[in-house]
Amino acid sequence: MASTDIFRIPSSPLKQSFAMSSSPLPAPSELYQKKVPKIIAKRDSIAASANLFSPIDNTPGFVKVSQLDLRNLDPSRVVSTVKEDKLATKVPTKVVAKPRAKNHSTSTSKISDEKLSAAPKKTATKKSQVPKEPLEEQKVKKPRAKKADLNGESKPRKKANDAVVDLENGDGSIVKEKKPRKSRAKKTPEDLQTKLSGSVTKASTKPEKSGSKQTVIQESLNIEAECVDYGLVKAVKRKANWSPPHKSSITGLQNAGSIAGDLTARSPGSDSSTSNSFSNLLGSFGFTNIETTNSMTTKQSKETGVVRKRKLLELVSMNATATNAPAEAATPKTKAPKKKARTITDLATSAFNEEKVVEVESQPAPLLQYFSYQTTERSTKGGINGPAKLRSKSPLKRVKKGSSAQAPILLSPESAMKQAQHQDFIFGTSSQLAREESPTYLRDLHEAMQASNVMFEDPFDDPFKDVVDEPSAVAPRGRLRLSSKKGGLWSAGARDAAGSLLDVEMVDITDSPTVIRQQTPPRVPATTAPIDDVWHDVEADNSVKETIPEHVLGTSSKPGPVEAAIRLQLQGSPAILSPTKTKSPKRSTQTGVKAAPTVNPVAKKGKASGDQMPDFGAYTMFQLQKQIASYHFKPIKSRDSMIAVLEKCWEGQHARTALGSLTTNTKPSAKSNKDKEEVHPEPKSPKGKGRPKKDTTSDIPTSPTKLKKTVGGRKKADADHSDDSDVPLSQVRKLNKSPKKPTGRTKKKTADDIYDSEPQLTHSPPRRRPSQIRSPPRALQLSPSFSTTDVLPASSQESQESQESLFKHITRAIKSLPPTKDPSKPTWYEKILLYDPIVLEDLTVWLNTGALGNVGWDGEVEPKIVKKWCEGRGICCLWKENLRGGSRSRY
Amino acid sequence: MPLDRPIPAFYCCYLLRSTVSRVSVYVGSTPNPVRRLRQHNGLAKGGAVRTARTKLRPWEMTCIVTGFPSHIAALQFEWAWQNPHITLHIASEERLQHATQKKRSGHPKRPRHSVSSLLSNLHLLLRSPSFSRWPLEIRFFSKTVYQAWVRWTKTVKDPIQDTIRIIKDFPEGGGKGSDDEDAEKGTSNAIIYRRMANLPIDYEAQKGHVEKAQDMVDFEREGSCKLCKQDLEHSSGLYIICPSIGCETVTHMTCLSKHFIEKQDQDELVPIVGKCPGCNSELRWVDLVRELSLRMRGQKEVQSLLKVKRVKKGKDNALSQTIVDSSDDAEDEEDDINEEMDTMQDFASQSVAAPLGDSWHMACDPEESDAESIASSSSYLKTSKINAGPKQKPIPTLHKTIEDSDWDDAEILD
Repeated sequence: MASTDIFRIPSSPLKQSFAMSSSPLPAPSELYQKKVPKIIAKRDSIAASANLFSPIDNTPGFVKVSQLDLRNLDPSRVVSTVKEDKLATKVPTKVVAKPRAKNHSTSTSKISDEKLSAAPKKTATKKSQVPKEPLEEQKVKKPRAKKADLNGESKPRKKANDAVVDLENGDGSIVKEKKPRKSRAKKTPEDLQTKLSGSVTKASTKPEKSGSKQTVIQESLNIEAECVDYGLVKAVKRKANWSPPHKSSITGLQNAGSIAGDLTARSPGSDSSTSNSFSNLLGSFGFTNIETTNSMTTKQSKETGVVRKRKLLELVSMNATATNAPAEAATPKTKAPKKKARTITDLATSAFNEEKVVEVESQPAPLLQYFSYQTTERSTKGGINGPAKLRSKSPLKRVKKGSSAQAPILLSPESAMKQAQHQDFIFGTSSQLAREESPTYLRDLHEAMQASNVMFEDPFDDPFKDVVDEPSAVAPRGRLRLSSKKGGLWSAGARDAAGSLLDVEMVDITDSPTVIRQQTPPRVPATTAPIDDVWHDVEADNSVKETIPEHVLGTSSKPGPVEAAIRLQLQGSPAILSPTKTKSPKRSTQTGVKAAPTVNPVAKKGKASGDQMPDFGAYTMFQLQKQIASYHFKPIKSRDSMIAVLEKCWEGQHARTALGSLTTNTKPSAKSNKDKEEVHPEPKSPKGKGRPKKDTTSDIPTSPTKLKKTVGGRKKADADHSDDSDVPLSQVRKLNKSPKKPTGRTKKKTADDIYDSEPQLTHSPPRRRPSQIRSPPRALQLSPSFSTTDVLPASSQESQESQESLFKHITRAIKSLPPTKDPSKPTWYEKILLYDPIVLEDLTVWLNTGALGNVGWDGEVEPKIVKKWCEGRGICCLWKENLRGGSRSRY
Repeated sequence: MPLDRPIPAFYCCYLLRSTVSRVSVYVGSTPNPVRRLRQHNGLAKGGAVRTARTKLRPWEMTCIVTGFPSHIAALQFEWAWQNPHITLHIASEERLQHATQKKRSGHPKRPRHSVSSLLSNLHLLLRSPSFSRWPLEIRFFSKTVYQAWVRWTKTVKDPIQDTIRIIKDFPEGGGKGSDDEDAEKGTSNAIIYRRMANLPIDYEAQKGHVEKAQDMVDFEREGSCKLCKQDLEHSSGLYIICPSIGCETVTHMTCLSKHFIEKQDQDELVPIVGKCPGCNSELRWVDLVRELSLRMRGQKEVQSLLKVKRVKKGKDNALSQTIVDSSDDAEDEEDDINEEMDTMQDFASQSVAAPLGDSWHMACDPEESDAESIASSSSYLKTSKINAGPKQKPIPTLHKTIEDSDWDDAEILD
């Protein structure tokens, strides 16, 4: 198997040669060939040349050879010219190997010539051969060099070479091209290689090699004996340009040096010896490895290549030759015994493992961990991520140490269960898991997720959640939390009866301290201790706020208790307090930060509306369900959400009745009137807050579909209320502006009384602002749709005011445009000034895409509103779209 | 997409009334009322169906509303005038006429129009915010109609915008109504035609302004904005040039508009009138912008406008007198040079920058108005101008500015 010999030269770690055992040689060889050149490609020929003057290189000839070899190894060279190169390489190597001056000179010259000419050449085969050469042919090359007459030599080699050539040429046309040449050029390198291999692996020479090889081997042996030392040096030098061979190969090489003396002793065909030498040479350059089996060889060649390279470098840098060799041989040896890979698979995996362990530790580890630990359940929430994380890392370490699969510590079933419970199981792909930068990353992530979920939890969630016993609380909390969190997400999109986003009612609990405190996000996990405090405080009914800080500090947010307290106050029914109280703590825990601002207003709202609206919080579940059913909602499981829904329905009903006939028009009721005045001074803040508020509200997990049942007028009514819910946040944040509130409120009160179930409004005037800002647009949206031909009915006053404010913004937006620089592209302002008919659609788009935002208007405008604005200013406007659906092209 | 034509020199909505039956009325719009009237009366092709009944012919234009800044604006107004019962420009509570019945197609039936109803609706429209700020002008050709108008305005408490001029363009006849009627009949078509012929349906009135502006732009004499003091780079912005003779005020359009808008109208966008920051002369916004639009988009019209002037000058001094606008010496020199250049051009083409909307379409008859005539073609303009020219020239129009006697001298310098 000359080919195998050839390929055995582990100039680079070839991993593809694993399956080389009985497989046809061409495949691995081809791969090897391909690999080799690639690997070699990385080598900078210059680097090789740099070695020229390294002190290690005693003879220029050697250096040259190595240089040349390396050059030939350059993948950039055309493969077609492999043969020549091979010849060249072979020759020089051989030449160099031999300190014989004559040969050297001639060969070097030859080689130099050839190689220089062959610079562009490159072949996989060549490379494969070339790297092999330096590795193996260090010693062999000398004899080869002698045989400058390649052709002569090659005859016996031809067979082997041909085989090699075949193998090598298996890969591609390129290789094939060189076949003829290769046969010759290769011969020498191949021969060299074979020889080398034969020589190096004398102990492990395989009978597979042809007799020629053996002869070659013998020759090489002779040569080797002469130039063992040099060979190492050369190999080192040559190797410097390659990717490092596998450690085993390096060790093998080094061992080869040390074993040089033993080479003769070893019989070529002794398997045992081969195995011995093989194992010995594992760390060395791995000739023996390759010799034994293809896979092994290739693999180990890679390994040895790696090792070799490293060793080579070490050799070079340390300026040590034989002295280092044994040292290096020792180190690889230490590695070698480590991997007693007797089978190909073992070899493969061992090599793989070693390297992988060094590089990628995380990937196999978790996987292995999973295999070993047989994870069962997955706790996404509630579990403790820390320990699991650590555990996930620990197997890594274990693997690192090279121990076989993590020896699972045998635990008692109970402890195992406990451990499993504490375990955080993380599922993911290797890449996902491997990406963790910090060991606590996942845990932190989980915690953050939980925290965020908690923030958005429904304040109306079962307040009893945290009251339950600790052990049971764990589970139910987990469950509830899951549900609530899911509900939180789900309810984020929940809609109220009118189909608008159902906001968590934000009740302002009047006092800023309360709210302020509530704003601090509470810790997620809840304990029973704060709950007790809540109870007490709530009962005391004095300092509801005090409970809040405690809750804040604790875990549960005060919304629950606060709400309960408020309701208590409202109703003055201590009897009902208990259920509400119990609920509230639970609720509070879940709501967290979000609850803080949200629930406060909600609670407040409940309080405020207590006069008219029944306190749904005081209802029993059955009563709530009945109410819900009366509104034709599907049964809602969460009590809090039921309460919220009912409240909304109530408000909607009341608002509607108040508004009376104004069903078609939007009800931005009279309150928005007053709000407008307040809106003007601070249009931005409510708007800005209205928006984010909206996003954070609506935890109530009522299905949006159900909510859409109530439509039309109700929608509008509730639109307001949904807007109202926006206010609480703004209100919460504008606590200092409480003085304003009463004024605004009083103003509105008179007009509002007609329209709203107002008592709640008394406490949250700012609430109206965003609503009114929003409602006018909505009003405008809705009303125009009703009559296309008829003139828009004069909307109620508030809508007009809000509309005016919007119009002013539009005016400002347009007027603030700087004059254009291009007369052919006038700005909107200029177009209007030019009396150009304004296309409504385009202007709307422009307004919505930033123009209004620039002047502080958050909402979007509709073309109809823009049309109204235009007509109010006397601007000629037109639709781009015809009545029939076409669009104007020409104006 | 962008507007490709300048502000029309003339576009009007007219109220047509049958001379035979004073009850039958018709509302339409046109850039060339004379032509249109002839069409209605069957003297030219392209009349309307409603006015095709020979019994009702000849028709007369009793009053026109002019000054629309664009043909689209005029069409919108025309439609609103024709359909006051459903137009959105009138608030429902203000509606004078309401649709009581519904047509088969589902559309509300239009109540019958009369002169008075139309007048009242006109008044209403002109008071509506949509149109109140438009630079419109009502011109009455019929005394009776004018009187009806006056009567109506007295009954209505809200006056229309004072920026809308009401012009009486009829000979002052006898004071009594009946006499007026007879007088009107007597005057009838000839006079009306004459008067209508004098309407400035072309850009002649802006010629001086156009020339001056052209001068300044050609020589890049924009200078800096009078109001914001920024340098006005040539062709990198929309600048308004004061039409007053000798005033070299050039401003950004936006600057000037803000300057024009009164403090109490800050919510408004488009000014109506204002004073030139340089010469303090009262200017109408629409005039300024019209010239600007000609500069921007009406190069063709400008060229024809200027050419005609030159050609006319070269041809006939007498004619040029009537056409010539005020111009300063600089312009004269400029024109002289141009004249020399243009002497080689076709003298016969007296094409003036007529309203772009004018076009002869023989084929189709736009039902209610010849709005389709928007498709401008200069050849049509020329032909139309030829017809209009003779009518215009002999009669000094009200809108022609006083000719400058120096003009003749300038020609002599050839």
